[in-house]
Amino acid sequence: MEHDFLDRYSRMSSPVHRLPASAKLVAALAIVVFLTWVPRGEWVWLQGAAVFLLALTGLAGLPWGFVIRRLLFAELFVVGVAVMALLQPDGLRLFLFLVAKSTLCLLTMVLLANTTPFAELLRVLKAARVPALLVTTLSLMYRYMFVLLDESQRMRRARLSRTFTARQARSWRTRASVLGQLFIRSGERAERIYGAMCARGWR
Amino acid sequence: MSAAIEVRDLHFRYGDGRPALGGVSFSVAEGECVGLIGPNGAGKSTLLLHLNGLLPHDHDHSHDGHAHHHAHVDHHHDGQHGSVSVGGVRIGPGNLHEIRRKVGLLFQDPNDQLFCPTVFEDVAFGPQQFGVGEEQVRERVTRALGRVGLGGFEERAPHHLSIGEKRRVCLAGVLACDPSILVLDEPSSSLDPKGRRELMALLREIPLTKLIATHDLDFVVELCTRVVVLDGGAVVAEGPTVELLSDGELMLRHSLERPHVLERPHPH
Repeated sequence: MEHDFLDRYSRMSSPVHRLPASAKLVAALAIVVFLTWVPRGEWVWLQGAAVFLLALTGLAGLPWGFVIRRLLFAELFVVGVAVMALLQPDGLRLFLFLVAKSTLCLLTMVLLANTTPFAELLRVLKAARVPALLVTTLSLMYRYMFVLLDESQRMRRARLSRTFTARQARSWRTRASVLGQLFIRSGERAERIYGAMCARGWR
Repeated sequence: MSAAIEVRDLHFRYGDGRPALGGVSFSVAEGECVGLIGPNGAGKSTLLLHLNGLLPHDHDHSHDGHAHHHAHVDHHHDGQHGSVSVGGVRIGPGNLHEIRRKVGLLFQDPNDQLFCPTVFEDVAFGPQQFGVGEEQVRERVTRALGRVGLGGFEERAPHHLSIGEKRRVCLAGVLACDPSILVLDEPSSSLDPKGRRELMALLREIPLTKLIATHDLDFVVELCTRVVVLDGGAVVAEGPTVELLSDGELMLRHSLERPHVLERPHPH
């Protein structure tokens, strides 16, 4: 329940939310392909895309703070990759161009994910004959992301309630063991889920 | 007529060699509601998993390396053997699908059982796997959700449900498979009193053969006519509910207690 923040906005009601999921998925993919295609230095195209995407974000009524936080979260990876461009001649300009490009791609995906319930996206994927194994994996991932977050949160609280010192070395050790615990618990849960799937005819 | 469930001399060891079940035998008659009680670690859940053929059976002890040289000395120490029959048909690798359709299993943790992104898809999962047509699946989902009092919950996501609602969706998912036997693992655990009472009323309405594993002895008194006590992987007592649960000494010996409903002189 507490981890509602992950997809809270996907169930709002706005003109963008009401568009059919299939249309949004196709459009999002088209935009990403287009953005990837834009040749180096063609800032005008990126600016156009930016205006369009920002307008959509506004129309969807997504809180700006939320969108920015989402982007910053993934930006780390983007910057990590784009940094390589700095090693080239005229690297800084390329770096900025790459970051802008990737950020717009990210924004497209953030927009898609937060204006369409995930279950609907899965339905579209299934109808589009994406391999069933992939759809099942995605759907299980979505379902258990919340359970896992809940579990790690509970373990974190339990750890905090018995933590009395702030010694770094020890805290890292506990963190490692909590991570290990979580891993083992997930493995056990996966086994029980598989049992439950079999019990209802999965084969 | 053959019993709905017939367990004969069932032995089982966990993968690490720890014994879980050491010769369990009991049966459940058609239409009966039986309580399976016993302390933690008695083997209740393991036993229930066997009723759906979810654990390696006597047809599979190749991986049980240690046990082989014991086999000729004492057969009972060898891996797993014994049999589980449902409606007179012995569970084996060839009929698991059919058995699982007949025996609906409600797991202890609803999060393990609710694995789909929406309630509709979850309740539809069983019927779809068992090859029911699309139109009929829809019908069954509506009926099953109505039966557990959650009509209109189709598009909800499992992580937005309370634990009581989750449990009822799980039950709907099992009922949608149209089973003839219902096997429940701790159905009342972590429910609030209202949720528990509603579940109890719901189960009473369902006219199927039922086997309920639980620590909730009041629940057993209300629902079950007969009780099987499991301890240390073996059946240590069985008999009519009130008679058995009134035996304070027996109850204490197996980490149980006389339920409060029976403490009053005239419970009904």
